[in-house]
Amino acid sequence: MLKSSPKFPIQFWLLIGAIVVFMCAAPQIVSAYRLELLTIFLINVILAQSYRLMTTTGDWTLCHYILMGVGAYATGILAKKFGVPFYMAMPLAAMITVGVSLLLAVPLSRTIGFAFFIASFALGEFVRHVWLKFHNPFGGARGINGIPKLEIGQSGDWYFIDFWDSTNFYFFTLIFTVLVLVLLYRIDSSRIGNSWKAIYADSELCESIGINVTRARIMVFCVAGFFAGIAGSLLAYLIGSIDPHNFEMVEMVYLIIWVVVGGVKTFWGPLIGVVSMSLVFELARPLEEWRPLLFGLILIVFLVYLPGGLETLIPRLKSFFSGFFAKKEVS
Amino acid sequence: MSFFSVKKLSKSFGGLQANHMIDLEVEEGEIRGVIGPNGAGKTTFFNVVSGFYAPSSGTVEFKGKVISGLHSSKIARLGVVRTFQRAALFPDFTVLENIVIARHLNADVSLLNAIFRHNNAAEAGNLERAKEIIDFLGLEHEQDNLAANLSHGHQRVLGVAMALATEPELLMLDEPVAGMNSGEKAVMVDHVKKIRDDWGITILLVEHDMKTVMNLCDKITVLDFGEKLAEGLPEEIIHNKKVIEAYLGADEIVA
Repeated sequence: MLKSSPKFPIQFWLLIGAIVVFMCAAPQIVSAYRLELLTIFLINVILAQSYRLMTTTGDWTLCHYILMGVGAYATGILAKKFGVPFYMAMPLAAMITVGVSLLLAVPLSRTIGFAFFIASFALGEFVRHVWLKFHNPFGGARGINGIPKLEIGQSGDWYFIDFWDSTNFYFFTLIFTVLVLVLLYRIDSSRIGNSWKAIYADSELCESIGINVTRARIMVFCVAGFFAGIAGSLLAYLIGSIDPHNFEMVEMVYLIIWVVVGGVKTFWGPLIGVVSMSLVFELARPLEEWRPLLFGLILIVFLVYLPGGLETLIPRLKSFFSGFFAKKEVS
Repeated sequence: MSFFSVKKLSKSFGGLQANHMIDLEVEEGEIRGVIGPNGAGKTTFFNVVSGFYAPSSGTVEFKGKVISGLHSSKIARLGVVRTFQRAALFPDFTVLENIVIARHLNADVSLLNAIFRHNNAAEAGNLERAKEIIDFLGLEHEQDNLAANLSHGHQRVLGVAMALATEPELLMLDEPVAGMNSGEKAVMVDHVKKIRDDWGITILLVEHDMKTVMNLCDKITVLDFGEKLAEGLPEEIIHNKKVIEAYLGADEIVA
């Protein structure tokens, strides 16, 4: 509606152009190992961005990573046990994730704030234990191995594309990421996106103007679940095997760190968060088992000194310096 | 069938009887005031009628349809819309955006429309209507300011503007002049009169400020200790013995 067509400055488009050029050239520049990291990074972007949508109503869940797992498991089972091709398996997996999201969201919508936070953790762990306990069809603790590789056509066809090749899979993921970002941006800047932000601001007022807050919160959960499901589906095809340990609480903590470091107020915050924290994560590889300590430290530093995340850094610096200079003029 | 009627409405919280067997009828086009001393149950009454609490017993009917017990957003959809005692608004949005968001009931809020934006005509209509409401309530100069940066008086007017944006038939105002200075009060009284006179919207208001109520209302209902104490024209209420007793310092209310 109103915020749908903000004027982006030229610098913004230059930055976007530079990112596009880099992302397209990446397979030529970086090693195969790094390229796989980059692919995982793109999946993380989808995940963080969908989580940000979830937080617009003020509902911080602790089970978003589980929703990604639902998408991954659904893909694994569909592709391996039923031989469903990827172009069917991916949308189906996303829809299954929406279904599971709905099952979780209905009871969760009766809670708010801290109770919501804890209840979402409990329900998420419940789902994870279902994967652990039921060998059929989830494979128990060993999970699902040997998920068929992604391919278009069969070898010999002129249009045959083999996504086992990391470059091909990288571009496949890149296209999905761009698509998801465009969709999420459209939703975020639309009337419905604004009404979700309005719920965060004042849910009683929303009720009084006719917004069914409960239904809206369930809907956000499901929409965010849809995109988390897509991320999970991509992950399943990328690593070819999934087990419950892929979706432990610690992964959720990383997700929260990305979003806290980047900020959630603008659409771009989580992107900044994922980029910066992924860089820190790779640079901190020599620290080995000390790495979680570093991340905990970063989380605390941000919560104390920059609670709005990196997205608020530039406005803060601006106001800091303008205040600084204004004081100087007076003296 | 009356326009809006409350029948034997009771609400208790545990052992506390906040409202007891309240009857009330509002005619279409009326401005009705509900007054009472502190703790008389006005706010509870208001919250029950607008659907924020379910009544313990009794019914609320609007145009022959029982609305008590319905979800508050559903009641708003049926045309009974409330405002708040506090300055309720969306602080990070501008005044215009606040009112456009409040046009939720008249908009296409599907996800498909969010992605494809195919229903632009409806949205343009909403923007136009929002500007009309802004002009009507004299908020033109504040249109592009963030709601958080408005003065208290303007914030309360914005609250009324957002309620109007839903196109209500019965507008319920919860202490519309609370915390205002005399200038702001006069503006709000004008607005409320204009809303009824020009747009024909029926008004039910709860208010503390006697002068405002006497100036504004066609008929007044007095609550005390959760029960209806008296009902009548403003002149009758001023001279009603029971009302004067309920309000210690009766001289003040006439002033």
